[in-house]
Amino acid sequence: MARKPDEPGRIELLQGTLGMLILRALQWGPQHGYGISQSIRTQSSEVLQVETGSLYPALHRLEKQGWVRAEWRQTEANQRAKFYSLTAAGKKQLIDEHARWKQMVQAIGHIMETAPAKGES
Amino acid sequence: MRWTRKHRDRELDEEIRAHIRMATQERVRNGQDAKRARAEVMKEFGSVALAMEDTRSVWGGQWLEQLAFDLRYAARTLARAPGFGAAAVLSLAIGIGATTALYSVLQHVAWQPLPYRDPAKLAIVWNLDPRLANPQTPASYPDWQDWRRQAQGFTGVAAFRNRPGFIKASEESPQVELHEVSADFLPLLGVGPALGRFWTDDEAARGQAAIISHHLWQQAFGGARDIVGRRMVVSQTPYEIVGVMPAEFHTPSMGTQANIRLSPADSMWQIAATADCAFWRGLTVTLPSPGRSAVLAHWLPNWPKPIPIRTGTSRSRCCRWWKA
Repeated sequence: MARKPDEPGRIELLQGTLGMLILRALQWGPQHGYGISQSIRTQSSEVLQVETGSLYPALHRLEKQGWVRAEWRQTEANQRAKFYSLTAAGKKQLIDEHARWKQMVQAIGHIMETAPAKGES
Repeated sequence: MRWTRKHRDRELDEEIRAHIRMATQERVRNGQDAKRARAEVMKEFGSVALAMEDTRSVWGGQWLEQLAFDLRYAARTLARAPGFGAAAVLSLAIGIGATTALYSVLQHVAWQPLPYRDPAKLAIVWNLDPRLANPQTPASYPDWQDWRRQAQGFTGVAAFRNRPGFIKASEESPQVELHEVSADFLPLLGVGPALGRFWTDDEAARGQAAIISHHLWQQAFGGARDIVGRRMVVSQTPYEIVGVMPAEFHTPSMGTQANIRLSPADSMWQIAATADCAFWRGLTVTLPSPGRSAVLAHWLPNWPKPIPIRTGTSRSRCCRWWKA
């Protein structure tokens, strides 16, 4: 399923993080799928690339879980698009996932950044 | 319920269209040519059909759950008869249109009357390269087009090939034999689905319709009466099931499989051809000398001795013919 990013400097998302990133992207207000993918791309300084093939299944999963709700609206360019927004449960989920994420980064950081013990090169 | 699913499908379709439109417009705003912008967006998007199928499966997991249940039941049943089980699971076969179909591959069908309309007229044709240890090689796409044009005594020429595939079923992905066939393959054999229908030309062109074997229908779908119209994903390609083959249907034997490569660009095909019996009977046994080539037939009474149809200098072609 995972396709190699075709542009250098881009990396694929870590498994399990897409949902959190989507929820985060919606923190500032309703957004459509394309807007979410653009927002993740620009906010990661073009490093993270969201596969469209994973974006929509993830969005619909979040909707099914009740963390986002969807409604059809007009875009600024006056086109019809499906906008997603955070629900109360979604906001709570974002806080939980963010906390878990920070914990994991810290834990992995401890392992990876520890100076090698004496005798090891 | 049905309406809800249809409605959701339509909405998803519109949602993805809107995505593609917005992505294209943004590129155009940044000064890109409209045609190129769309091509790049489509490339970046990847398979729209697969994205839609994956998204649909978020909502409509019911049939997958049913399939998983059926598979668990099948596994329990088969566990009680392990000898049969091993063979049965591996030979689960689908038939998929455009390009596709699956059935079980049985070497021994070469020795039995084949359940086709006119099996005496049928042969399997392939290239013969005398330089190779195993000289029979599948045909290339240009070979197929070539033979179809030139006909050389054939009344019909259709292409097929098989490869392993995986049916997506929640946690489990059972392996099946996937036969990709040209749209005229089943008509050439003179057989059609027992349940459902043939794929339409439009479906054949898109390659997203599948005809499944009776065996697969029974084993994986529990013989469900509403099988036609259901969807399944085989090796990441979504298909709609349009028909089920009769129980007695087998695909022709593949002969040598080892040389079949899978990349679409240079894919190798087995070729089934039909011709008048007199055409096949008129051929006599002489093998090409080294460095020369021939079109060869395997006539069953002489099998596995091939019969040349035509000799050339670059490469040979070879046929297998089954008795009626």
